[in-house]
Amino acid sequence: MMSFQNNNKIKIILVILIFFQLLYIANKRLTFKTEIFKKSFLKDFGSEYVMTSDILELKEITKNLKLEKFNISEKLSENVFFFQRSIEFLYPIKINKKSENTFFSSEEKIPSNCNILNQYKHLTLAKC
Amino acid sequence: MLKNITQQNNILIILSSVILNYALFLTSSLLILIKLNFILFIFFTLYYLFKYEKNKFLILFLFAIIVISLGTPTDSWDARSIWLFKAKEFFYDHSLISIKNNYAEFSHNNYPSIAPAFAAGLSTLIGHWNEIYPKTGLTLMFIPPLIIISRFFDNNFFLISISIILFIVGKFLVNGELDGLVALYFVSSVIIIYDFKNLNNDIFYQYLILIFFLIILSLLKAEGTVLLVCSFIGSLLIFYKKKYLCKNLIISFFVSIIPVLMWNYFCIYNNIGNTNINNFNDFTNRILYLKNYILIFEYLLLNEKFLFSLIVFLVSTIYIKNKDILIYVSSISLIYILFLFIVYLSTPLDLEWHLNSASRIIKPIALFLSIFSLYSIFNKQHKI
Repeated sequence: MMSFQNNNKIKIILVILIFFQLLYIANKRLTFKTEIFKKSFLKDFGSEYVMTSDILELKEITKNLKLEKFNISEKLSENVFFFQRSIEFLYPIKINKKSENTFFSSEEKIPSNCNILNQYKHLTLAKC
Repeated sequence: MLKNITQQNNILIILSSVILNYALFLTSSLLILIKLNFILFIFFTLYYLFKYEKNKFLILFLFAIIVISLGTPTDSWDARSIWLFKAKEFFYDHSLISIKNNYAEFSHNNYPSIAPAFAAGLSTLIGHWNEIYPKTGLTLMFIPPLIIISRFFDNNFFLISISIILFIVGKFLVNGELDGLVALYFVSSVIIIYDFKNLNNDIFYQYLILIFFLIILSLLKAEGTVLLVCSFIGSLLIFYKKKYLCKNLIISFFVSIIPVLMWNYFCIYNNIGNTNINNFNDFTNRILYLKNYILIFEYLLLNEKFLFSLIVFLVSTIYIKNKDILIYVSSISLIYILFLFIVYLSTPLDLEWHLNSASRIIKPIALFLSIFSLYSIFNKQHKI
């Protein structure tokens, strides 16, 4: 059995098996891309692979307007993906229900007590 | 000076830098200290791997999983909503204490945070945030348990253990979730405990290594604390005749559990809540219905990785006939599975929906069964 432990043929087979297991994890279970690897340490890189265009737009707007907090409409809050992803992606800019700057989906009807500040491709910013 | 650092001391330094990183974030320490500590972790890891590591394949394997981690986007739900969001908070706030504000309750602010703190440590060293590399901080946390696994297996047996880890833990090595870390820190801890059987002297450092492993295990996820308690009970069952060992194990377990108890006290004191609190009413409503047990059984135990490990363990037990391993592995596994049944029966969420987590939660036991099967076969061959 000591021969099993040090057997080179078995070693080669096991190394090939491990190689294929790693390949399977990288390409089938996950989506490995060399372009991601090359840029993996760039500042703010990678959001385009995981975020939807409306959330990317939300970040862009809050960054440009230098907002420290923002609010989103009821409809957008009910969308769990949009709600959680926008909170974690925009941090340290925080969501705050008391914030007057409220974002609506561009398809939403804006309540009468809100003044539209700007309309963007996916979102509408209003003061409520 | 480096020449005086023994293999065990080197492992202790690596483990203590993981714990110290957590302590530095807890105490809102200077960024330079966090950076220095992380550099120490990297330096002593490389020093260990090139000086002491007998299975050089481990270096290649670590390199491969780091490359995969850096080449894949962070898109797993829990990784983004819980673990890497916490890491991002700690990175921007330079502290863990900001969770007192209970911002974004969906991220379960009361979950222990040693792993996100480590990812935040890496980000502090790099100096900026992005959506790719911070999860590699969690992948780096696999180094200490993989070093321990490597100490117990040689050559082809080590390669088999890596293949088993890839089969059972798989993408959880690189995707920013913590279930793989829980599985590997647990298996490393129980293998260190079991190895006390074979040690006669100079086990002080082994106790220290065990304590550090158990502290990290309990601060990874809530399951980690449960696994710590299960390991404690299992080890007393096999060591009850060895009074000296028993006494030291009891001390080790009580020392190890203190940090997580303090963390829980901190959360309760500051009213940092969990959105999904299991309760007795849900438990009593479900306990009498057989269909609930069948459902939990299906999701938890009819899992291909668990079944594979169970079959391998049963076959190896018949072949090796090691009573101690049988008692040790069965008692720990059964207590943990019983705990999981209670948790699922008392969930406030829809049972079937909550059971989607079952395949992740059972990973520590699946890995435990497989690695101990390999361990018993390896040791039997060595005795021959």
